[in-house]
Amino acid sequence: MMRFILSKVTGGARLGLLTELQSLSSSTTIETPMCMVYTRGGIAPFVTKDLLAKIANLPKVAHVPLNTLTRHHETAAKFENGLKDFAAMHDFIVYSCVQDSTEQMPVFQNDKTTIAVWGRAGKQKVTVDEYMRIQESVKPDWYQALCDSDANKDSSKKRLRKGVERTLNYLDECLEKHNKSERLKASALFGVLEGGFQRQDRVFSAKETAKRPVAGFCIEGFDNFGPSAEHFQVSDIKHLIKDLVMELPADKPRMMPGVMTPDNVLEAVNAGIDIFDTAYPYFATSRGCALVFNYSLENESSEENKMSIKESPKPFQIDLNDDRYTGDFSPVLEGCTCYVCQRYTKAYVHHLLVTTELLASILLMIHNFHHYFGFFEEIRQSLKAERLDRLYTKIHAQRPKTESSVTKDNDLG
Amino acid sequence: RSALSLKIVSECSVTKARCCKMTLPHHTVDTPVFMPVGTQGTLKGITPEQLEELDCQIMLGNTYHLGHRPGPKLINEIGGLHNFMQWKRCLLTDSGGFQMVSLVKLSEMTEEGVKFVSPHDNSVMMLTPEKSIEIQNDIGADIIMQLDDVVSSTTTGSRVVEAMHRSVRWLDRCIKAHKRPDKQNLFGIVQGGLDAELRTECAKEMVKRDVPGFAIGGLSGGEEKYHLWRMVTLSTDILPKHKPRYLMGVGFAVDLVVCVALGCDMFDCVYPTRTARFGRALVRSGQLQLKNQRYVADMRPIDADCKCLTCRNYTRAFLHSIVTHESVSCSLVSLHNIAFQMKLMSDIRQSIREDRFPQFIRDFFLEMYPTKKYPEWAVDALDSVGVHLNDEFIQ
Ligand SMILES: [Zn+2]
Ligand SMILES: [Zn+2]
Repeated sequence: MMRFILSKVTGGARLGLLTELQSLSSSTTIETPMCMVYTRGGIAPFVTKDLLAKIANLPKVAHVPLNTLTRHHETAAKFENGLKDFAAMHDFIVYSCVQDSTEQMPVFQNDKTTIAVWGRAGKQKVTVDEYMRIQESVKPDWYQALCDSDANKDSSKKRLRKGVERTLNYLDECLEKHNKSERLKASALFGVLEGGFQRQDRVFSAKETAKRPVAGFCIEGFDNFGPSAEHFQVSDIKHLIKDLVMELPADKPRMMPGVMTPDNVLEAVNAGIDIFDTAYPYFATSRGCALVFNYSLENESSEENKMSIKESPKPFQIDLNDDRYTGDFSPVLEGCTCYVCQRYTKAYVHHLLVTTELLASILLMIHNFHHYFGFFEEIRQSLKAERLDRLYTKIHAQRPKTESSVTKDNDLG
Repeated sequence: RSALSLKIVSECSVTKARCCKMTLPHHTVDTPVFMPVGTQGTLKGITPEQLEELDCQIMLGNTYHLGHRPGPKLINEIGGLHNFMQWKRCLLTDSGGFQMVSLVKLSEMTEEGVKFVSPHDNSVMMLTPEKSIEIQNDIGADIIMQLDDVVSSTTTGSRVVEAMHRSVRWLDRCIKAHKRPDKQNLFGIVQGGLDAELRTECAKEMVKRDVPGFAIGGLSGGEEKYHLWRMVTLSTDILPKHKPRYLMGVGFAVDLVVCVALGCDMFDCVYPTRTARFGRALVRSGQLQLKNQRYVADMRPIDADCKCLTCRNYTRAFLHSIVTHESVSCSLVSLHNIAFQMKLMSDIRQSIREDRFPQFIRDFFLEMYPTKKYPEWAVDALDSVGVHLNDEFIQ
């Protein structure tokens, strides 16, 4: 069973190690903070295996949301190693979860006994029994207990309390079934913390979940995921997170899905989060955007690059649909060592986008994954070298000043 | 002075099939060869490097599409289509004429060229032989095609006669307009509809022009296969042996096997990649519709003998669960379908080199039609070159 070793704590930020991952070779460990590769039904979006393998710092954990599994699990059950055999993902740790952070979560669709997820088959309502049956088929290395994460800034106190209670009940039921399951014997079960923006509920949820024999914690229920999550600011809740992680044991990993931009990732790392997902590079790719924020503490980005980020409607990325790139023969990001930037020009990617060719998404996904994974590597290196504050300053300086960001405090606090 | 050399490696002792090494500026191509179509400077969800790994040696780009976006000047500025799309091996571009006629509603053939109303800005434009070559010179493919006067293969009468003569005249104008004969090879296109006399006359006229290779055009429309094979075999009889013969728009496995036997060296078709988009995987016995419920728990790969990435990693059941839902499935099935076409052609070449192509044909047909209900046109066509599918006594 997976173990988490905390190797260093700086402020709230944690440098850790996931070990005893028996499905990978015994010597393989995973350093945190890290992010997981987003997959749909066990396959990365757009990018085939051979190309994925060319990406530097590729995380060894794949993240598989329930809504992308609707047609898989019955066949996966026929394999000894479940989804890992079925989807040919032996080189990955499989993490299976309830909601897809790239999809808008349905609002007010959960009830006492079922949780709703949106997939390509539309809305699907899942009971604890069904959920655990699916997990038995999938046979993940880690998975999340069923949870009611339908909460956001505007959720009522009553709704939040209900979500916390339901989620705790689901956890108890999942644990009971988990302990009886032969197939899930080696899988790690994560408890989910709810409570929206209510401090009291959050702390209660954390305290109660920490009492249960879970392998780690997942902090959800701040927004309904999907594109709206891009407006979610970790800085708004960093004090809340600090309060709730006080209730959590230090030797278990903490995961927070749907954290998007690099400044938010750094806020969350600093609040003590260890594991993230890759909703952000996926979103950027589906829009035709390339991540271009500079996280290298050695290199300054070119003036031209700084200009194009500044003029971009989205921070930290450039929109390659823009006609200004028609004749731009420079790589997607100057100095980037990824497969795409070593070969292709902005003009070519722009051409592929304009002609709606599939290769556009493939190339952008490769670059965006490479860039995001590289950013996480820099976070780990910065933690080791005690220079996370410099990284934070560098990233924050690239965020265009909007009204909301100006009023926010500008330190790691 | 041409940028092409063709060396015949082996000839089938029974049929007209041959195996050649065709040396072009960017690569040496083994023929008979299938050329996948990368319309807009990319092949549906596959990277050039993946194509190379599948042993693809030459691919197509479409002048009509590339001429519109990103435009010939831009392609030229970045050093040609090879550089733009990062494809190191050979490229062939069509003239743009065929797509003009098939995609643009308002087009009209005049002696000067194809007059058409631009679907982009409604202006009246003209694609002349000179303009087509100018664009193709900018794109920079190893092989470029003459602008021909395209008529539907089912058209008959004086229009076909006119089109044939005009195509010959336009070849002369293309030769004159061609600025880079040392780097790019201009092919003539034999026209003449389904009329044996017109085809013969056209082929004879074309052969008089010293171009590096010839295509057989106007036969991938809706014409019956009965006509197709007769026009093909008639053309390959006239075309010179020491120059490559390219049968345009043909790519179904059965058609490839038959037309290789009739003496064709090069083929192109959008079918393998287009059909992949709909989740159809090619196999020697036909095709698998992966969407079909019957594959939901089918634990076999598409083809157990196929070495492609898809077959090495995924079951039909897994592909069934993602096909048409995840765009990556399009790449996976395309990869397999291209691998299938490449393997078919490499098997054909090997059997020609070992002089057992007639046996290959018989085995191939038996696998495709286990009940021996062979299409009549294929039986006739193969009969004409000495391979008798229905003759039990000949092995
Ligand atoms: Zn890059
Ligand atoms: Zn295959």
